[in-house]
Amino acid sequence: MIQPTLTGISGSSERDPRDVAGLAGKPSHPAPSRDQVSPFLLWFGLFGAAAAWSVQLIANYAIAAHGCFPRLVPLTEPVFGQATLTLWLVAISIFATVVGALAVVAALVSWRRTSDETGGEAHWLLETGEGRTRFMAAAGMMASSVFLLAIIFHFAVVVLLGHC
Amino acid sequence: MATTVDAPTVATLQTSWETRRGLRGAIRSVDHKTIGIRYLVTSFVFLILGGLEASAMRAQLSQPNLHLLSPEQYNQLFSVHGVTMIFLYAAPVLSGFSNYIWPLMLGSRDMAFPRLNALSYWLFLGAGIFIYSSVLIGQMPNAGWFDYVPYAERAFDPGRNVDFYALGLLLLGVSTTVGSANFIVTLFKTRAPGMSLNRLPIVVWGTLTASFANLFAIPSLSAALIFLYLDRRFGTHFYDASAGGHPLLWQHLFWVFGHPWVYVIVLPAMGIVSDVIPTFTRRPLVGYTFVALATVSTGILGFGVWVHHMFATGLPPLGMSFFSGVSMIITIPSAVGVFAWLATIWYGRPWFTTSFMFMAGFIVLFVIGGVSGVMTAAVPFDLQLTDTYFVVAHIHYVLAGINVFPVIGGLYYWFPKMTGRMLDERLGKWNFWVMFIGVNVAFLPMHLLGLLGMPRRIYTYDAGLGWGTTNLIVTIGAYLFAVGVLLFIINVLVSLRRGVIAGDNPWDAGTLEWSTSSPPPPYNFATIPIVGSRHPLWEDRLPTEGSGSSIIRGGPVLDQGRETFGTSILDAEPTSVMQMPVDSSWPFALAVALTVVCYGLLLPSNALAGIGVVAAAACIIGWLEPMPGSIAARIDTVFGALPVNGQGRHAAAWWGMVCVIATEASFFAYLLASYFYLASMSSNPWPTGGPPALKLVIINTAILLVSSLVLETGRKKGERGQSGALRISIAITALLGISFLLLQALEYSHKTFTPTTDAYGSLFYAITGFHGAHVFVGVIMLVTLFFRGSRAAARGSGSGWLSVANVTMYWHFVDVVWLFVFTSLYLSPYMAR
Repeated sequence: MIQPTLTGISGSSERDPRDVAGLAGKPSHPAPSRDQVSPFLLWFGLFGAAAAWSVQLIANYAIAAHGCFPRLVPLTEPVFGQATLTLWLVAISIFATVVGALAVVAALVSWRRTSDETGGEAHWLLETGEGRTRFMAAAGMMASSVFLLAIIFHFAVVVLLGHC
Repeated sequence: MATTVDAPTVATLQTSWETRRGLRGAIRSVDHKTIGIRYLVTSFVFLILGGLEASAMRAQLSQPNLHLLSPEQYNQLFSVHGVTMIFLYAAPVLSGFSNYIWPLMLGSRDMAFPRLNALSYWLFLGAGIFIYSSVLIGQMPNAGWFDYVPYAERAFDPGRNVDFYALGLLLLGVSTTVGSANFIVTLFKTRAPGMSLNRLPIVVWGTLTASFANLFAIPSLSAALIFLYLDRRFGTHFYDASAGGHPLLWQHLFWVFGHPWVYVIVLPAMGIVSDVIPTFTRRPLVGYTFVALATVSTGILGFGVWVHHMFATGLPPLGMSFFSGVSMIITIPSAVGVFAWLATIWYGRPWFTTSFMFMAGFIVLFVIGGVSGVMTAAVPFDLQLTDTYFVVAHIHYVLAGINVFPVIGGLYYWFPKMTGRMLDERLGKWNFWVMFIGVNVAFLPMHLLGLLGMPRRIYTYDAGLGWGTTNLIVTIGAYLFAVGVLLFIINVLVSLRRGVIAGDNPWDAGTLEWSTSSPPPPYNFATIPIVGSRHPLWEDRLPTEGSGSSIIRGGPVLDQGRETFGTSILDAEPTSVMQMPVDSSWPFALAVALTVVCYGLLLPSNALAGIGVVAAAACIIGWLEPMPGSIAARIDTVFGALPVNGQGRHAAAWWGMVCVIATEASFFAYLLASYFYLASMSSNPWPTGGPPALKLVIINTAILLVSSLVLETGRKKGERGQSGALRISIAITALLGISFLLLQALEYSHKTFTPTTDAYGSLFYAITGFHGAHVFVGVIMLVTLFFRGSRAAARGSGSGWLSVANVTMYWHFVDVVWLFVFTSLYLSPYMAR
């Protein structure tokens, strides 16, 4: 069987065993910058916007469903009035947007503190994921952005279609 | 296998980890590799059964007005075909992969809970046999794989068909839940030192996301199934609109589970693609960070799209719009994978093996299935196509394209590791092309049939509708696809005997599983690897990846019994030495006992169910007997003296309890959501008889709160060495728990309604009853702890302290749940006034 070599890299496919007595040559720590950012900031940056989106979706759906279709007959006017329905939907959406935006900021802050955790520029990180702390920070920026977008989509529905 | 470990040490490892031969050894084995292969073989048997059912249906539909099958036979076939493919093939086959390759990829010697792993498989097998035993009495599930009520209620479907469905899936749910908890804890705790989160293979991200999804989604299905069974067996009214229930409650609960389940059966498969394509393009995956994150994001967003399965049920447009938006957003992370795979192929040097071709074929099918999926995210479009063959086409592109193709491609890839022999490449190419042509000939025209208005689930159609030719083409494609699967099976059977010897790393791949022999020894690795990058076997050719050189051989041995390292969650720093259990019959026996319970509930036979319950309890008691092993508190390793099994967050058992609590909390969340849903939708007065009396329940709430306080205080005193105070606090807590149950029984006796009065009564007793059952289990835990665990803890036993911590955590959880139950059932009616 023909086995092409790795792209752009030459060398044998047979590695020598790295028999390192006493593990003197053991790999360095995968997260050298772990002390430069708090775990809360990292986790909030990663999942804060997702949590806000979940609250927005579940709460607003419950309110809209109960407001527009309680019991067995759909309504054209919300059961607790149009103004109240809109107020609740908008308030929850504003809350979600703020939390989502804060999560993006938290991820950005984490990224700024850890972006030089290991060698290479941002695109290198995206390619290899090396540097656990900045990996989480970068993942947080992306995750928060996607979920913030979902929150904004939802908010747009509330503004454009905010009635039964 | 080259190794730096001397022969006596290898012999010691072999003796420690080897499973005995023979039937007894087979039943007792907890080896993840054995279990993984069992999962794969069993799920392929179900794939064949599901394929035979599909073949019969396609023969029936190949021409108009055929009567090869009766309508009832057709109903049963399409229902059990869906149940088989979705529940008994698509997810278990991925569990098979993950079971086999996870510990090898992660550089561990086994899963975190090997016995739980065995239980998961035996329960899966039991559930499959249970569901298929329905064929013996000609009453297979017949209400579709989604089993919509009211059709599935006793009044409209009086046979045992739906009972087989409900009880079988409940059993399968237990299997999947314990399996998922095992995957999560395995990832958290048993990775090779140095394998930080950013160095995980993508397939691990996929299965991890699927496992989390299972923990939170399966309780929704379990609640739906329990409600259905209770409606059918005892006459409760959860789905009965005439008594305050609502049929759409089933759909909500089912699809809250159902859509995440779609990602459960595709994300690990997509992970397989992400890990195989780099090997055959000779370069790392492009955009690893993007793909890892996209996998997790898709799993989370998957929980927010369930209503798009219900657009045609008359929901308020505002609510539907919320879910339509999310259903479109989810294309973003889904598309990330496609671009990453294409870029990897584009920038790499493709090596056109059979496995690679299956992965490339998958990308085409993924795009088609994804696009037809996002089309139905648009409400007006969906309203036109709901319940037509367009949706059938979509789901088959998803299942066949996104699951079957990566699975078979993955088997071409890992078969050499599993068996030591290569699959035949020439036959493999035939295998691929026949399947690829077959799947498109079968399922692409279905889109057209849907657009022409052909409804799904019809057993025949009139000639004048003009669907005959297209249906014939679909049938030909389906048979072609079946021939393709047959070629694969032939290839496996032939190659098992005559395949080329594979060697350790026939593909020159970069991940850890290829560093050990093919097939791997029972202990996986003679020395535990220490990882310095995402591609430990490519480091000499990717010198800039990673923070150092991995140590594949020459690392620590751990040969004092079945041992592996316990490591930290984020950076995989060694925190303990985990002593793994030996082989055991208890998982098999427990699975048999629980299957007997299901048969007892099916018949119904209280005696048989009772026998099953007693047998299950006996199995659990036997299971929990302390295992023989080292009594040393610490073991010297190259990382210093590490504690045995660890404590708190460093212990696998602690995380196991966290998983139990997470899934149980989800179960109660779905119960309470059902309560508020019916409170909104019920046509009856809610609550029945007005707001409930508060006097007794306030006393009960106080009892539970005090009990938590007492137990927590005792635990802290115990940690300071006051073992007597700990035991007293455990005893008091147990007594308070018993008091709670007695007062709840007293409250029940004062109620003017029963579970069969109306939907409110059904829910009230279901919610408080399930909570009471949890208190009862907690009391049993406390009693056990009083007599066994606390004494062990006093003697300084690590497992004793772990038991104290876990039981305390469980008891606090039960109390917190009660606060939600109290607020929802007792206080909210007053607030609503």
